[in-house]
Amino acid sequence: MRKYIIKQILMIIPTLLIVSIVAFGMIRMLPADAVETYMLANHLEMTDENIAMVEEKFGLHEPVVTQYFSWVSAVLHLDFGESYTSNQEVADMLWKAFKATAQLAGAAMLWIVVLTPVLGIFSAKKPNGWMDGFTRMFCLMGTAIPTFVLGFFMIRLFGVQLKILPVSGKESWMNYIMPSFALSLAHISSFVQMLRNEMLENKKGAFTLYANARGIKEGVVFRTHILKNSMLPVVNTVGISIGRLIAGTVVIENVFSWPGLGQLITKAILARDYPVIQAYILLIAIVFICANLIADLLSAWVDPRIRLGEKG
Amino acid sequence: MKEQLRTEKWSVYLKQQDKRLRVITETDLKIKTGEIIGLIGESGCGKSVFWKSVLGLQNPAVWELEGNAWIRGEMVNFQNPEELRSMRGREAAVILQDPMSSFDQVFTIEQHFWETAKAHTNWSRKETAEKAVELLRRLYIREPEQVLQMYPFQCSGGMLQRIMIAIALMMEPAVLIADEPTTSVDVTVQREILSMLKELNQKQQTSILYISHDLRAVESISDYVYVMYAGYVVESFPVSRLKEENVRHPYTQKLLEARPSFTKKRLPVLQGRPPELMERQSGCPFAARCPMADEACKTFDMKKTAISENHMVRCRKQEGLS
Repeated sequence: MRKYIIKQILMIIPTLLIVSIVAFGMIRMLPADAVETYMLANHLEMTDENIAMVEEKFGLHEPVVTQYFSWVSAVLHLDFGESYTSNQEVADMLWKAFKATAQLAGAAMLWIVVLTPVLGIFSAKKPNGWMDGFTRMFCLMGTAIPTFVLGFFMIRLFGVQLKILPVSGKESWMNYIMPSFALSLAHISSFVQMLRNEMLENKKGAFTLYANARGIKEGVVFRTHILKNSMLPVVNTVGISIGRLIAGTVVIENVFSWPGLGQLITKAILARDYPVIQAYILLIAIVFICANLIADLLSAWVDPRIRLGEKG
Repeated sequence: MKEQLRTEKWSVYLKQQDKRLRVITETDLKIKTGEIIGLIGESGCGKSVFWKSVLGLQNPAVWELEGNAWIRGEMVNFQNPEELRSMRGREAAVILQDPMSSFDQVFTIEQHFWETAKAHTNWSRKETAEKAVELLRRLYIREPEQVLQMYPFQCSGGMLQRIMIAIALMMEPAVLIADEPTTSVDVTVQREILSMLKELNQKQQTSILYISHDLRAVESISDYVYVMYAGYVVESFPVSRLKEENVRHPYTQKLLEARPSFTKKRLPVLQGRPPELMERQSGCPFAARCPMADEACKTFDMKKTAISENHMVRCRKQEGLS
């Protein structure tokens, strides 16, 4: 297992290298000109002098390969450069936004961790009963409704009409309720369906028959054997979803004016703020790698077959 | 000899919408102390349904039971789920055909023993482990203390099969039900399991219901044989009569003919397959495959005929011949 973890961590290096090349390359291939963007944002006149000055400032007069290497060496020192539009340190901007998004994703994860088992058990206990019907309806809606529709609907209902929840900002814990729920709903829906199917499958499994044939109480069989075995694949998927939660906040943050990565990257893309976009891509790559690592560790923790290796 | 398990006119029905399909018909079966009973038949003949129904393992909303069953002379009350549960594993323990998937892969062997003990006794965890070690040693498992801490996927199929027997024996059940315990293990392990069951039976008077489609295994281990076809016990006799010239039902005869042997040049094959539940009609269910069948067989009421005191057959051709 330790070997496996070390291998996974070492794999991060080539992955990030490739991501950095792709991120850098794709941005250079964009039709818009960085110098122009900067000059517009800073109200500079389009003179040859000024253009030369800006190119000099960001090293844009050098060949692309040189630019790439100077960027990478700066990044290795955690220097992501300055934003073209706000003249702030990109690292600071990203870190602040990342914290806000991570808090939102954390709240969404809370919904997931609480609601998935509850709804899953609800529906698998008595398949085709009313609770199962309710859960399946819930999941169907959860997967079918686009996040922005749900977001606006919630704002309208809870924020404007009932006036019980704040519609934007992140001052108190009340602010977290709507955006985190909207963010988690699609995830919960797919996890619940997955858990339900696993449970119904395991109910018919040979180990369930054997446990029943040994006279073990029905409730114990359900809680230990059926539930635990059904949780294994779900735990892994939930771990992987951390990445999707953090990277998938673009719509939600714009709907709820959440000052996180999603808003930051939307603005950066619209303003062609290259240093921010590049750093964002790199950051998201790291987030995904970490999420996968966490998922693997979680799986190993709950499943002895992974921990000890089959036929170990 | 005391009876450990007995069923009388035991029928099992499967409810399907408005229909009520009969899966098992009036099975009279008994197992005495220290006896090994073989229950044989092709796949789909109702062998597994039989033991599951006797243990009350089937959902009463879908399955309906008729007739009576006794364990250690006491009638089983199938209306009481809690009574049934406490009977399972304690009075009648099973070993199943696929040990690899029957064990829960994420629980250790010790946890399997412990949860079984917890369901029926108030033994402490330590007590249970001590008993488990003792049982595993009796079943020739080396280093039982280490084995207890292992997960099922770390054990071999033969080992798991023996562990299953150990778990079954822990509660000293009236009867051990073995549902095709040798189908998923290789030939050497098959031998091992059979001789182990035989040894348990001889040393400790364990009564065993051995369910199989392997005629040779049944022959080598059983004292008495029941042949099941499409939910009927078509013939039952002491194992000494399991010879082509002694058995009376054409199905049993065909099964014996199809048994591989070095003296046979060509192996006769029993054509066809047992009827599906929906295909079953009145009369003898074997009539469609039977070389001796005639029109009257299609309306035969499957009445039992006694060939001798302990040899029964359900065949029209045998009526009046005894």
